[in-house]
Amino acid sequence: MTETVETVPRTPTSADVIAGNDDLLTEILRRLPVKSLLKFKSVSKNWLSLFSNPHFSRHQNSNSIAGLFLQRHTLLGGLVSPKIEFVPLDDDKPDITPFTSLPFVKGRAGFRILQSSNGLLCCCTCGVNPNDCRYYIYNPTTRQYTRIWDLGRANSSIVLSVNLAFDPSKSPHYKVVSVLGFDKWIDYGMMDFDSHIRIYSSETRLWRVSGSVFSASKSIHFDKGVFWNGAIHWVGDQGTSLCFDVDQERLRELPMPPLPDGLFEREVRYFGESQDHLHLVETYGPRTAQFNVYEMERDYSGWFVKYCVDLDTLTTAFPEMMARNGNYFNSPHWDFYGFAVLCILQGETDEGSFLVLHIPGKTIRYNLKDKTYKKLGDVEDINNEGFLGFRHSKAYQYMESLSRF
Amino acid sequence: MSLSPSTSKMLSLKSSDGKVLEVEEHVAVLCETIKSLVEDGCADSPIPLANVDGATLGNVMEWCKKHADQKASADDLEDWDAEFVERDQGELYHLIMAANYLNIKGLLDLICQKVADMIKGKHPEKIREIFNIENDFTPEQQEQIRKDNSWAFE
Repeated sequence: MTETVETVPRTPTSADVIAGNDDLLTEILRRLPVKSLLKFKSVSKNWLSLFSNPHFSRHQNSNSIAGLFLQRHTLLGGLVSPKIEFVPLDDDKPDITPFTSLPFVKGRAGFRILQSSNGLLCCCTCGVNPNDCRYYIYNPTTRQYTRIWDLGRANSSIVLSVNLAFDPSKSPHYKVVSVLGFDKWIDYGMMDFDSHIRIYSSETRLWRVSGSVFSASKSIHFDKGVFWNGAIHWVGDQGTSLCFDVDQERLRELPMPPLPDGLFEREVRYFGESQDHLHLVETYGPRTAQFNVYEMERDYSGWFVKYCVDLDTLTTAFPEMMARNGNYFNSPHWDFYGFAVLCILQGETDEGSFLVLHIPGKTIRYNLKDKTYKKLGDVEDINNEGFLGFRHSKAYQYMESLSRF
Repeated sequence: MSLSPSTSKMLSLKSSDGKVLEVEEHVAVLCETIKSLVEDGCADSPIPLANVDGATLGNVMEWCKKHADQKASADDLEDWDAEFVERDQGELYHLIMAANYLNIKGLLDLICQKVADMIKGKHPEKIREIFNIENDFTPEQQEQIRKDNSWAFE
C-alpha cells in the first residue's frame, strides 16, 4: 500500500486548515447570523471576498422569514400611518432590529413598501404632490439602498406598477418591472386601456421597453404584483389576470379558479408567495371563516386546494373576531368574522406551514396542519373606518439577506 | 486479512497514523465515501483513510454507530448529538475535516453548526486568533468596512 503524503496536522494547526479551505469555511460561516457576518467582513481580505461571492449568499442558511413588515391602508388605498410595524415570527431571534427610519424618507411626505422579494424591498416615497414619487430598492439587512431613476411620467404615461424580480439562487442581479398606462385612456374612465411594460436591470442599470403595447383592464391590481417562478403575477377582480415571465419577457393570461355561480367579481383575501409556492385565498359570503388556500401548479395548469381552513375554533379563543354591534353588516362586503390573512408561510414540510392572521388588536400564527395557534404580538386597532381598518393590512416578508447591488 | 463470515459484515478502516479499526459495514457506510467503495467492490481490507487520524476516526465511528441505530428516536439522537459536540476546538476542526473527507453530511452539519455557535458575536480580532488569520487590511480599509456596516458593530 502506498502512503499518501498529505497528512493532517494535529491541534492547534487544524484551525489553519479550516481557515485555508474556502468550502469548509463557507460551510461554517453560512450558518452565522447576518450581524456576525457583516462584522467578520473585516477579518481579512479573503473573508471579505468570500462573503461578497454570490455563491455565498446562495448558500446562506438564513433564508427563513424572520418577520413581516406591516402597512395598513385605508379603504381608499391611502396609508393609515406612515409608521411601519414589524411582526417578528421567530421567538428564537428576539435581537432582530429591522429599520425604524430610513435615510431616504427624510423630508418626504410619505413612504410605502411596494413589494418584498427574497430579502430586498421595493419601496417609494412621495412628495407633497402625489405624482412626485421616488422609487428605491432597499436591503433592510445591510441597510443598503439605491434609487431607481427615470421611471416617472415618461411619454405622458402613468406608473401603474413597480415590481421587483429578484431570485438570488439564479442571479445576484435584480430586475424592476414597471407597467405604464397611457394617460388619456385612464383619465377617460375606460375599463380597458393601453399600457406597456418597461424593464430595468441592476446589471446594466438601464431601462428599456419590453414587448408591444397591450390592452389592460382597470380591474387588474397592478399594484399588488407577486414575484414567483421567474414571473410577476397580477390578479384582476374581474376578467383577466396576468403573468409576465421576466427572463423571456412574455406576457400571458394567468388562469384563475372559477368564480362562484352568479358572481362576477373576485374577493381576493390573499395573494402571495412563500418558499417558491404561489398561494391564493378568496372568500365569498358572510361565513368567511372557512376558506381554501389554493396553490398554483408550477406549469400553470391550474390551482389546486392545498389547505382547507376553518377558523371557527379560533373564535372561541378570540371572541373579538366575531361581529360586535352589527358593525360588520354595514356593507355586504364586510366580514362576519374579523380577520386579515397577512401571510401564508410554507414550511419545508406541510407540517411547518402556517397562516399569519391579523385579528382585532393582535397578530396570530396559525398552524395549517395541526391547527394550533400562537399570539405573535399586539397591534393597535384603527377605528377610522369602523372596526375593519385592518382588513386592508398588507404584510411584506422580511428575510435576512447579504445581497449587494 | 480475511473477513470473518458473520451475519454483520465487518470492515477494517486504517487511519493516517496506521491504526486499524474494525467497524460493522452498516455503520461504516454512513460515510458516503466508504459506501461508494463498498458498492463498487473496491473496499480493500483494510480501507486506507489517509486524511483521518486514529483518534478522529474513532470519534467519527462512534457518531456513525449511534446514528445507524434504528432504535434511537429523534429526541434521543438530538440529546446525544448535543453531548457529542462538547469537545475542544481542535477536535471539532478534525471532525469537520473528517466528515468532509468521508462525506457524512449529518455530522458535517452538526459540527459546523457547533463551530458557528461558538464564534458568532465574537470580535473580528478574536476570530483572527482562533483561525490563525493575518489581518491584511490597511487601517483605512478596516475603517471603511466598519463604517459601511456600522450597525453590525453597535
